[in-house]
Amino acid sequence: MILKKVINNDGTIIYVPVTKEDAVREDLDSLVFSDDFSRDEFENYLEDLEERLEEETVDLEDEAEEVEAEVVDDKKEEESLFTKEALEMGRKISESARKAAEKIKKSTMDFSNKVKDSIDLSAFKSTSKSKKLMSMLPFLDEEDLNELVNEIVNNPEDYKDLSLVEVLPFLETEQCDKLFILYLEGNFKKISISSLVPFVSKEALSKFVDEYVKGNYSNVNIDSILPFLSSKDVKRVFMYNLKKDD
Amino acid sequence: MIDVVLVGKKISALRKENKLTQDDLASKLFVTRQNVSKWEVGTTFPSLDTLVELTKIFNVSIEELLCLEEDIVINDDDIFVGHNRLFIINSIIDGSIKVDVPSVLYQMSPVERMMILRAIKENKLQVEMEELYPKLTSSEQKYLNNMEVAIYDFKKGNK
Repeated sequence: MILKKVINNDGTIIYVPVTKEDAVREDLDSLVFSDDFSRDEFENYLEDLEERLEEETVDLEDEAEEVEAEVVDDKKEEESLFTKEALEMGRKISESARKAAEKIKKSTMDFSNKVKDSIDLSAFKSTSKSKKLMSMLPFLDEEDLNELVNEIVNNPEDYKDLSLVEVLPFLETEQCDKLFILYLEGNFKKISISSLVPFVSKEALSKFVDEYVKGNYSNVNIDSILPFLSSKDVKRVFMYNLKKDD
Repeated sequence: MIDVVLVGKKISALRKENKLTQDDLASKLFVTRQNVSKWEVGTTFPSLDTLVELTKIFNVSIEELLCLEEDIVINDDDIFVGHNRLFIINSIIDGSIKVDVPSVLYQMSPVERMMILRAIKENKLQVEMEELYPKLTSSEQKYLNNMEVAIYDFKKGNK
């Protein structure tokens, strides 16, 4: 799990869970990882982002170099031709090629800046409202938390700056189980299954396995859920899969 | 719950027992060597289909491969070393591991502490509140204050 350091108005420090997509927009020094698995997962995610950016930049730079090379070739051709018209035409070609090269370079820079902006802290900081909400979470009672979860589930657009992942540690197991059932029934996809499952009860997971081995919920990503099942349920899922292959 | 770190070590041990390199195992499973490496350090976990194949390659049961019947051994000075953190927290909550929670609370992250406190609140975990309460932050104390238990005023020494 990835946690972000938040300093309250009274100076106390709390840590709130964030998704990896939100974490890339934060200052790395303010992030804490609950385990090596989360840190490695996040590092891999960052590497993927950087690789994609590099590939795009390299592609566009290569194109710009090719156009520049053409400009140089044009100039050489121009010298050997020696007629006024040929020289004039050559100048026009090299001028347009130079402009094209500049355009490509600019779009490369624009793309790089766009990606950098998308992971820039200032572009995507939480609103003060969601920060206040997060700092209030430990003090909300069961009724308030229930209401908050219902609001997030039914009106996700109003709470786009507050991820459900941040609320999960404060919810009663029963509430997490309800969210899990909603997810299985396809009525709630605002959260990834791997973020939700650690907070779901063994009983709810066992009931899920009961249905899974009957052939239901085949569209659910069992690989994400498997590490969180009890030993007995892991064996059941394993035997079901073996029989399926045979 | 599965201890993915322990399973990674098991995969590594079984691979070496069978005199296979990571590349050899990767080829048999049609995955990359990096995949195998990540399983062995516990960074990622093999898919169900891969687990089925691993039991066949190593000729072991699923219980052995996933260390389902092994006793959990922890070091009180660092309860998480050699194990997946979430696995240890869940094991403390379901009683598979016996630890003195107030003494090891400092080793846990804020979210892990919340999971322990939630278990205490839901009566899934029994802890000496006198020892635990002073080790909590004020937010955590307030979270627990919703419980109907006697709260000690440690500053004043009153009950």
